[in-house]
Amino acid sequence: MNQNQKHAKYGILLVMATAMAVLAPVRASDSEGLELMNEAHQVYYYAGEGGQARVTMEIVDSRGRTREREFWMLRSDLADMGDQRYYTYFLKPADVRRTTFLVHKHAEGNDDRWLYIPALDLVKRIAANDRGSSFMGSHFSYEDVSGRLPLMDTHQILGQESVDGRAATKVKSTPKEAGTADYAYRLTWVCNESHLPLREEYYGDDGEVQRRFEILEVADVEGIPTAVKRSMEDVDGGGHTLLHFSELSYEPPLEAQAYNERLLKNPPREYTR
Amino acid sequence: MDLILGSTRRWIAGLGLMVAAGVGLSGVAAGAPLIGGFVEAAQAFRVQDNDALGGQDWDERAYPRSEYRAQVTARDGMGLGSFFLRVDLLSDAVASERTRLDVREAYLKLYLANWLDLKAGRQVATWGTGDLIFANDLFAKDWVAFFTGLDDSYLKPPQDLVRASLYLGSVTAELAASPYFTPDELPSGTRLSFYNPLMGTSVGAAQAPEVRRPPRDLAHGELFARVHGYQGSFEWAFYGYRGFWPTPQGVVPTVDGGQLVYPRLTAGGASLRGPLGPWLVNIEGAAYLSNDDPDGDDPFVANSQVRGLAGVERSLGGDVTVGVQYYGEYMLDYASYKAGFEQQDRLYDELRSTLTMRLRKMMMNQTLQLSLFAYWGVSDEDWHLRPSVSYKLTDAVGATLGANLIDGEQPHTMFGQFRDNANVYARLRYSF
Repeated sequence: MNQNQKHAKYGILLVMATAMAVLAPVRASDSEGLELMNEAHQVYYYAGEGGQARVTMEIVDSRGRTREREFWMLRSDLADMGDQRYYTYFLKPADVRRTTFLVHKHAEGNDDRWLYIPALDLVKRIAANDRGSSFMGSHFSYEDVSGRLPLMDTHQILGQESVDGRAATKVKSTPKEAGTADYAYRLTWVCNESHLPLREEYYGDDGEVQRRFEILEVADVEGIPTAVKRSMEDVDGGGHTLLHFSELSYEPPLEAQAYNERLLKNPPREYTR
Repeated sequence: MDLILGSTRRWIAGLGLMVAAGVGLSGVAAGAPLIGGFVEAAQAFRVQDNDALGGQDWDERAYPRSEYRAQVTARDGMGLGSFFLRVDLLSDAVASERTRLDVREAYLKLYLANWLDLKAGRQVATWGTGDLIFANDLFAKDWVAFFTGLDDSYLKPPQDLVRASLYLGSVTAELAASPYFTPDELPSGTRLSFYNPLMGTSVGAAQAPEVRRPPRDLAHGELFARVHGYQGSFEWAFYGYRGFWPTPQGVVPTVDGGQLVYPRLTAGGASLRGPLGPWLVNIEGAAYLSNDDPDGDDPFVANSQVRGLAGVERSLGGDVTVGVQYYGEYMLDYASYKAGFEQQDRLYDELRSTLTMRLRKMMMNQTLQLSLFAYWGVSDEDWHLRPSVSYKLTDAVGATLGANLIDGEQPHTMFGQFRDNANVYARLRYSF
């Protein structure tokens, strides 16, 4: 970079600084919003350095029919708010029992995903450019499960509003780039005490609620407030999914390097019952 | 020979049952082994006449598949090992042996060291990157199941293998050995008519060619090898094989016409798989060395080949997935093949190209799945469509409707030979 370019760059920075000073009140709230959402993201997706849980998933469709899934979910973080490794071992329903699922989650860019089908001894790699698609047929999307970086949205604190008697801060989040999310904006009620996102509402372009997420029960797990019962409601199309977490631990169950083909094909025995 | 194989199978089945019974009994005493399985009814209907299958009774000609199947799996682990058992009990209206036991998997897994596993016994094995096409995967395939409406998982028949996996950091080296050769399961002329190269026409069981398998002994075993690793989001692998062509690619002339045989084969290759933008990309290549005809000048043995495939797949959003693949077989020493081949109108091209396409859409909380897989033999001028609809009525009950539509210009090509075998099928399965 030569001197002229450097000066030009400083000039741009100066203009930006001036603009930010003018917009200061909004900006301050924005950065506070981002800070708060980062904390919520950290608490919800990165608690501990990993962990494990036995999850039951109850999917109720718009006509009231119920499907049940049950699986073990293991997680190990490579870095706080960075890349993660996820491993899922399916216990129910019977036709997918013993199937395993591996995700190398990248904080930026598409995840890497593999599915192992034991009846064929097949390690199937899955195209992972579809963060908005349904997670195992539930009303949760892959993005809901693995998380969307708060950096991808702008956040505006709207005020204080309690949820079921718990004091919370209400934040409006709008995608910086339209098309990177399947909502126009999102409202989040972040618990003032635990920083867990107690409730989230996803709005469409028409300003109507499409989906509603709620934490129904929080428990103390190894000193970490944990959402052990969660629901996602399809307000638009009907139906909802309930997630129930049990046998929780925040001890990283495996080293991050262990999340590979060997693990896909050889589930640790303690998770296969 | 068939008799011996049959009795071997019965013997293994009996052993499997004894193990299952033993496990069941011990399970009552200690923590029970985990039992699962399904019962399934499967019925396929022909949608066209098939003259080659004449001479059989009407039932057999009308239904390429008509069966009830009960599968039981049992598994448990103790100490350094675990076992797995999967047995199918069949009531099959099309087969000569109507009721039979099919031991599909019966293996022990031993975790010998943190860098070494051993999996020994009857098992299913798959590797490579193709989607229903194979370059380096030389484990046996069951083409009969594939064309008559069984679940895709039946494309892989079991094999008796000892498989060692060595873990060296993030690199895995695998070596699998079988004490004898397991060929692909090919049509015998009861469920499907097929091309008899000795007669130059499509035939049923009555005119099936005589096929001679290599003796079932250690001198005629198989060896499979793979080294697999990661580089960022990409996976690479190298493969090796020593054994036999999986289909009878050789002819031994006899007084009454000839006999089909499995010539020796050595193969090696490599693959790469990973993301490229929104696409998942795979590329794979393999060299097939026909050991019994290294120079390609023996007209009765398949020539050496180079095989390659490349594919892309992506999600289009809304639970829709699309994939496209190219597959090519390039024959070496083509001039001598051409010169030595009698039926000049039945020659294969030097480069045989096939395109495939997969379309899948899931709906209604993924309880309804629409799927289409299509093969188009560009060089062979044949095609095969596999449309299907699957619906999960409940978590336990699933129904599948599908079709195997097949046609081709010529009677000797991969799909062309099955052109009179188009069928639709239905399956109903209860899993427990």
